[in-house]
Amino acid sequence: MKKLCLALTSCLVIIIHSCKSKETSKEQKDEVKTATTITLPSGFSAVVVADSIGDARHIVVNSNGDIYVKLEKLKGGRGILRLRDTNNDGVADDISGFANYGGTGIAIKNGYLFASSDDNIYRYKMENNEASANSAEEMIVEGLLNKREHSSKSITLDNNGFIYVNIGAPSNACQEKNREKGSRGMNPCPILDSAGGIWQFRTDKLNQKYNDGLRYATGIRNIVGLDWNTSVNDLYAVQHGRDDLDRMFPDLYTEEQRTELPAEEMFRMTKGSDFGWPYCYYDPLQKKKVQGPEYGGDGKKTSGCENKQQPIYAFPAHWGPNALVFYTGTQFPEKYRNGAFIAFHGSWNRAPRPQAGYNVVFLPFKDGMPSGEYEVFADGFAGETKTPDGAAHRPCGLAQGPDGSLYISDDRGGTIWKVTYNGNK
Amino acid sequence: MKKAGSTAVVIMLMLSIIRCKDSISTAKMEAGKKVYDTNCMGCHMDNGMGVPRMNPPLVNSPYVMGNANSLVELVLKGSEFFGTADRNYNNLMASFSALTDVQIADLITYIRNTYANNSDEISADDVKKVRAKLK
Repeated sequence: MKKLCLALTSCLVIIIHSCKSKETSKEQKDEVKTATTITLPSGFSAVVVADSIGDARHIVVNSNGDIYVKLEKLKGGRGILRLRDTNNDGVADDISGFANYGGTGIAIKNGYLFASSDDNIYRYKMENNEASANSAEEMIVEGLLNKREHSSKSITLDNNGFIYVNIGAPSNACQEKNREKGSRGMNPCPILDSAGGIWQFRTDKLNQKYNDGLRYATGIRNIVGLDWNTSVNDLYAVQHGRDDLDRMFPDLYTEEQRTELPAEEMFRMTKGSDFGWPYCYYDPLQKKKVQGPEYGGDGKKTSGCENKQQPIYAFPAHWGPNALVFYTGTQFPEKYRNGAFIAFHGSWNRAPRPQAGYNVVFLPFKDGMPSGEYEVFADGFAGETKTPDGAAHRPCGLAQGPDGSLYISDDRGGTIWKVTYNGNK
Repeated sequence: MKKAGSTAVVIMLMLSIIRCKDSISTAKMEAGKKVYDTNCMGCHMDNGMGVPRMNPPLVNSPYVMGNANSLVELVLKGSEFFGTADRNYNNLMASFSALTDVQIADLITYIRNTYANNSDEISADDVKKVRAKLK
């Protein structure tokens, strides 16, 4: 019996091995990757600017069309890539890089390129309108909290010399024992002193620490997508909402409720905003903030949440909003002007139910507030398997080019797309 | 022809898995799956592949394939004792010491047989011994 078992298992191993080596041969891999096409609204088309460049987190496009990509992990010893298209066909044909740290955030402002690791923020003075291995690297903020969970630091800048950085809470709901079933929430939550919010620092001062910054907004679990909206001069962000309501408190929540709760909240923030994490979460069905079960909530009670700032929009639960950009270009039709594009990395906390997100959506805005419902703008990134591990691509970064094109980055397949509008306006 | 061949292989493979697992009772595997679905699947996913950067896969995991007692220890203690050296997965695993010895034994037997082809069986007594050592 054992022998039969062994023979069959070896047979299987050989079969799997032969399948595997076939699948992962270089040509096959490239073929499969370029075959993953994304879907867009009528009149739009996309070009693959670059492929398999590494874990492409956030991106920014310079006035000359150069794309700077922040890689989460070093690739070939480089943490920032510069992609250049010298023959104007949309495809990057000159790729170089620099910076010896991984991270997420990247931005350009007033002749400087800014980038973040999970601990620090750096800047590079751009000479001849470019940053390169020759640019001097200066640390502007150091020693931000990094306890692995929610440690990525996204950045955006206003027009008054300030840079904003999210410092994610290294926790799901500030429980005494993180993610342990039934564990109570700490009150007050000590995490909020150094994380769980957005901090503001100066862009022109080197080596700033916590004391030099300002906790600009608090009560935020984790933000990856944030953007300064220049049409109204306010900071906006989309939060990664809490996980595991039913796993932490199975007597209060069902699997179905956990799949759809809480909303991924979109915030418009001002100095001093408090959005309520970890004490409250936003229930999109009841359309209000309710008290978290770790703090005595039962899914309905609103104790302590009445004075928390409300989201300006509620997206479906667990989609993972990883990038936000307000569209200021004129290339796309009028309805996109000053509206928001949001890249959703794709869910995992919906298991065992089908995963969702893995797309880029558009939310129309008027006078700094949402003026309609979201619509899926770009989709099909995941390919056949919409799971965190099985997805071919996961949207992570967004940027607008000088000609009004929209760029999308992907930290799974390492692809950068350039989306342009060719239809009638 | 090719299709018939692969179908035959799949059938043979399924048979081999069923036969390999003859020694472990279906009841134990089912009980283990139940513990897994309730406590582990949320992070490690129903296919055991985890979530890139956040929650590690159980498939091809050295912790799942390796010494069973170390895996019991990991389930009891959570992953905090690993420190911050491993940057590949950012979420820490909570301690599951509230599970009973029987539940942990069923769980570990289940995941080792499902995701790592370890056909051994862990008993509640094995878990009890590891738990006693940690106290």
